[in-house]
Amino acid sequence: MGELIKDGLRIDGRKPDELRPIKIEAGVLYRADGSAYVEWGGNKVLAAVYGPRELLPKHMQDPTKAVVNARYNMASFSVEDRKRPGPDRRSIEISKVTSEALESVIFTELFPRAVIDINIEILDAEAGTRCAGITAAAVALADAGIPMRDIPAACAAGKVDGQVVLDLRKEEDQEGEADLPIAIAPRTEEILLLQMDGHLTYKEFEEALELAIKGSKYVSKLQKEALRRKYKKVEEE
Amino acid sequence: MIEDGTLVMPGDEIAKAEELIAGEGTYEENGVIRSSIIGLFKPDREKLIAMVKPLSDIPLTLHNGDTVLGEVKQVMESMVMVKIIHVAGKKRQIAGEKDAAIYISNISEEFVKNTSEKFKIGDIIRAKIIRTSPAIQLSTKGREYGVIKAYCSTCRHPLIMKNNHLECPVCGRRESRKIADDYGKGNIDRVI
Amino acid sequence: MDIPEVKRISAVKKDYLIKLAKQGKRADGREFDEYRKITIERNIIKKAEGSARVKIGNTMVLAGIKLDIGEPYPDSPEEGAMSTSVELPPLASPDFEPGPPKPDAIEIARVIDRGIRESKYIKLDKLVVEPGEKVWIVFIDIHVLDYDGNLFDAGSLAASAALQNAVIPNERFGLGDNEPLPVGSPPISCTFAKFGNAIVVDPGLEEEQVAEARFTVALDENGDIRAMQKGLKGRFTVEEIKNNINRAQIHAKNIRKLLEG
Repeated sequence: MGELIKDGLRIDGRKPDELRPIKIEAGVLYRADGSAYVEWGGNKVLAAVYGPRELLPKHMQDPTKAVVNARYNMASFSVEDRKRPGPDRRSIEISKVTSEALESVIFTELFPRAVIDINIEILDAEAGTRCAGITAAAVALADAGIPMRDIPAACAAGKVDGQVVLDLRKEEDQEGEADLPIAIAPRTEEILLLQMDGHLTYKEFEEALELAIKGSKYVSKLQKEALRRKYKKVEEE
Repeated sequence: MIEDGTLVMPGDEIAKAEELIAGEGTYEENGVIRSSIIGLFKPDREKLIAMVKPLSDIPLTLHNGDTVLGEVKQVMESMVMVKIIHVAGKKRQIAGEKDAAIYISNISEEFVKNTSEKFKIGDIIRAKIIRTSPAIQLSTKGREYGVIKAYCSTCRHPLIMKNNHLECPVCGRRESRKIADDYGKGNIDRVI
Repeated sequence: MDIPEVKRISAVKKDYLIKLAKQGKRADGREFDEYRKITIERNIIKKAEGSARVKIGNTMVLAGIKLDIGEPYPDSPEEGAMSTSVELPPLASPDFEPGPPKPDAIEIARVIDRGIRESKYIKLDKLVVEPGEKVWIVFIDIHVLDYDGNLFDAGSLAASAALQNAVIPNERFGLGDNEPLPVGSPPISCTFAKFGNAIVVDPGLEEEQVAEARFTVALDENGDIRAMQKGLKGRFTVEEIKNNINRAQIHAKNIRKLLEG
C-alpha cells in the first residue's frame, strides 16, 4: 500500500484519470474482411473479422439472424511465463462476454444463418487486454462494413492505494484493490460489458464507472480517428 | 440534415425521420436517421431516401442478376440443387444461405426433357440469380451460362471439349451437358 | 443453452412475459423484487469435506468441497489455493449436453469464484502446510441438479454454505485432527434479468430464456461490491446498473440472514 501512487502520480507518471498511450490502426490485414491493430500501453492486439459467412454445421444456424462469435486468444509468448496454447477458462469467459457485448450493436437480423467471426489475438499483454481487444474488434467490425448502431469502445477503471484510477497497468492490476473493465455504446453510454473484481464501496463504484465511461469515450474518439484516417484516403482515391 | 457527401460512421446522425426515410446503410432510432456503416451520405432527394454509400468493403449478400458459380449437388426430375460457391468479381465469402435451385424451365431457352442430360452431380456451373426469397433460384438460360467444368460420370476425370462435344480424355466416354460458351477456360470472375 | 428450438419458443414466450411485465407482473406471480423461496441444507455428502444443497424455487444445486495438498502458486507461496467449477449435467435439464464445460458453465463458475475470492471468504493465508512447499487447495464443485433459472445465485449460495461447515481433513493426510476450514463472512450474490423494460431479481427459467441482459453483483457484509458481471447481448443504462446494486443491497441482507442463521 502507498507505493503505487506518490504525490498524486502513478508509477508511470500518469495522473489518476489518465490513460496509457493508445495507438489504433484500421485495416491492417490483407485476407480479413475487416481488421485493426491496437497498441495500448504495453498491449499489442490484432483483431480480424471474417464474414458474415455461412455458419457450419448447419444445425448451429439461426434462421432469424447471424451468430456473433468472438474468440479472444493470448499468444503463448505474450506473457511472462509461456501460456499453453489454446483456450483456457479465462479466455473462454472473455470470448463469451466479448461476443455478447459486440453483438448488442450489430444488425445481426440482416444476415440470417450466417456467422460473424471475430478473432482477437493478444500478441503482447500488459493488463487491460480484454478492453484493448474489444476496442480493436469494434474497429475491425466497422472496417468490415458490418452494419452497426454504434462503434463500441472499452476501458477499465480500478482502485489503487485506496484511490480510484483509470486504466490499470500491470503492477496496478496485480497489487491494486479493484478492477472494473467496461465496454459501452459511446453515443448512448449504454453498458455492453461490465465485470468487476476486488473491493469497492458503492460510492467508489460510482466514481470508477464514471471514470471508465470517460475513458471509453476518449477511446471512441481514437477509434473514429483511425477509421477516418483510413477512409479519407479511400475517399480520395 | 448533414450535407451530401459527408463521411459518416456507424451511429452518426444523418437526418431526422421526418426529413428522410431510412435506406441502404442507414437505420432509424427514436425519430433519428443514423448511419450503420462507414461511407458517404448520398441521399435520394427525389424519393427522400437516406442512403450511405459504403467506403469500406461490405458483406456479400446475393441479389437478383448476380453472376454466380455453383456446384451441382443433386439432380432431380424437375429441378437441380446447387450450392453457390462464388460470386463473380467478388473476394468476400457469401453472407448466409448458399443453397439454390434451378427449375427445369430455367435451365435453357430450349425445351428440356431430362434434367440429367443437362447437369450431373459435381458439375461446376455459371448461373444467374433470378430470385433470392424465400429460396434462392438460379437460371442458366443464355449461352454464357451453364457448365464450365464437368467430370466423367464413370471415371471422374475432367471432361474436355472436342468437336463441340464433351469427352473424357481417359475413358473416351462422351457426355451431354448444358454448357457455357467458355467451357473449360476457368473464367471464374466473368460477370455477365 | 443455445438450443435452436428453445430460442424459437422463447421468442413467443417473450411477448407474453413482456406483456405481463408492463402490468408489473411476473409469470409465477412474484413481484419484480421478490426472490423465490430459498432453502439451504448442509452436510449431506459424507465423503465431502463440506457440502450444501440449495434450492431457489425449483432450481436445485449441490456444492461439494474437497481439499487436497499441493504446491502453492509461485506468486502466493504463503497462501492456500482455491478452484471453482460448475457442471451442467444432462440430468438437470433437457437442454444440457454431456461433455466438457461449455462457456455458460465456465462463466458461472468464474463469477462465483470471483465473489468468494475477492471477499476473502476462505482464509487462504491459514491454509499453509509448509510455507512455499505445501498448501491446502480448496476445490469447490457445484453440480446443478435441477435447472429452473438463476444458477449464479444458487451456485454461489451453495458454495458459501458448503464452505461454512467444511473441515480441513488433516486425519486423512496424517496431519493430526481435522479442524474447521477457516472462513470469514461470505459474499452474497444477487442476479437480475432484463427483458423489455423490466428488470427482475432472481430470474426463473422462462425469464432467463427471454432475457436480453443479465447482471450479477456479489456484496460483502458491509454492502461493498466484491464482484460484478454483466452478461448477454442486451444493454443496461448506468442508472439501471446503479439501481440493481441498490436493490441487491436489500436482498443480500435477507439472504445473509438465511446463510448465517
